[in-house]
Amino acid sequence: MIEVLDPGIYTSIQDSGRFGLYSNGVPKSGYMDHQSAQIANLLLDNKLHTALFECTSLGPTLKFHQPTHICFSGALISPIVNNRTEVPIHNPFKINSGDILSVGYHFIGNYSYLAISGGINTKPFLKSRSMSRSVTPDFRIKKNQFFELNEGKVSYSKGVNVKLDRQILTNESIEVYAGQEFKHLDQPQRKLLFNHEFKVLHSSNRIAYLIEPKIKNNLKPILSNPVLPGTIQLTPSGHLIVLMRDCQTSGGYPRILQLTDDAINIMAQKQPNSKIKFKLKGIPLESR
Amino acid sequence: MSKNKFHLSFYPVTPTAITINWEEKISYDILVDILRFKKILKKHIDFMDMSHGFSSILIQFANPILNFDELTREIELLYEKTKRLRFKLKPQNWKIPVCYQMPYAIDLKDMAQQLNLSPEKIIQYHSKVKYTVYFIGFLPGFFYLGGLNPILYFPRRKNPRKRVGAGSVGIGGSQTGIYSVNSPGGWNIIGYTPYRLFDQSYNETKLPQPGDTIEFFPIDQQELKNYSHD
Repeated sequence: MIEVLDPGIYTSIQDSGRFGLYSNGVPKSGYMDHQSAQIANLLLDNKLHTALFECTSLGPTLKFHQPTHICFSGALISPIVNNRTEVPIHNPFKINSGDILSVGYHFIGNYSYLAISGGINTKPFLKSRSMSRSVTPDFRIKKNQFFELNEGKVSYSKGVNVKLDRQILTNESIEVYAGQEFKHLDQPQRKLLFNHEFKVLHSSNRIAYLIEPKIKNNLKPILSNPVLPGTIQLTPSGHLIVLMRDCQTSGGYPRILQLTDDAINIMAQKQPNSKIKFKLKGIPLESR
Repeated sequence: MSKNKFHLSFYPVTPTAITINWEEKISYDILVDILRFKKILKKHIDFMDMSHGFSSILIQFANPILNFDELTREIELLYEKTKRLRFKLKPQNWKIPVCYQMPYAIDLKDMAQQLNLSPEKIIQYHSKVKYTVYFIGFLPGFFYLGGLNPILYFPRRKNPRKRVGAGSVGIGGSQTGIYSVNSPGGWNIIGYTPYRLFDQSYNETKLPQPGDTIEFFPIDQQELKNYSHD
């Protein structure tokens, strides 16, 4: 059992999300940065879709009421146990019953992943444990909540240390495909998109990241049609909205770009005020 | 049975997703054709998720598409081969209670004033129509409905509300609908329904589906109390 002493700013439970429910308007949700979350799970020999804690900004403080192993991945943080022992990142770490873990601040990168041996055992809803604002009663963990754990491996061999891949945290280049309405953009608009740096705004969250500068927009709105995580919409006022994991399933703004799968993970790790540059990968399929 | 000939186009959204696109307009014939073709695709294509909007189907696959041209040819052939097959939509009609009174109908008075109609007339126009469910999207369980009387077209609020409660019935532009979950929202709220479109006991088989029709019928606050489950 894990007790939440302090929930942090926005700690949520995530697994790989919900599938096959797009026609019910149910967002995919799931890990913002799939790659990092999967590394954390893999290092504990957890299955790929295992539920873990996703932390951001200021992480939570948790008390463990049973011994287990944990593993961090994702953003650069400096978690400590019982106010004295540093917890290494990308390494299974033994936790004793009664240990208090403070995740702390996220220095580089936006999301860290705290996997626990066996995974967090909450009641799944629509086949997923992912918390999501419009879908589950809670969208983040709360003070004094308790979470049960699934049974996991009991011991881990030492020295499986994985070299921390900072590329995903520091890479400023975001690879994109041309979106369905990209063809309506004129040359100056395209030039701005690919020659200009964009800044991630503070109002970004699990649903969408907003970026600046704005782009002069004369495109007509489209009929409401499906959108995906990674779709970049251009609003009538010229704002660019990068849809993320909790995004709605359909939208009426022109879909000008689409992030590659890897780029969504990289984008997820951008803190507010980070700079990004788009790099066009062309049409997504070789044969076209 | 399709007397209409539609020209389909395709777009590779990601290596694992494509859209099939109809002409971009809101049309009942397109809806029927989309629903017909979705049924066929589900039988013939291995997919992870298939959804639609007003004028397109999105297919998401578990694995990357190996050959886009081959896939679109396959889909086109399937479309050509099946478009003359008999298909009859069997829509169900759903009656949904709405309380058009305060404290729920917070924008009804304003709307009535600006449209130069009495609130009663608005309620009448709003509840005397069979709306068609085009698709579910935007929010979990949210219906995109067709059929709002043009007399009731009314622009979205300039300043969207931070929170509109689940069950709120609103009008925004040429659309009307029910907020299925709590959400920020810019529609003008004219009523409230106790009918739940999405909650923790969600079961889509007990809810209207695309192609079905829904009707709103007015209830007063006393009747509303009888519906509440708490």
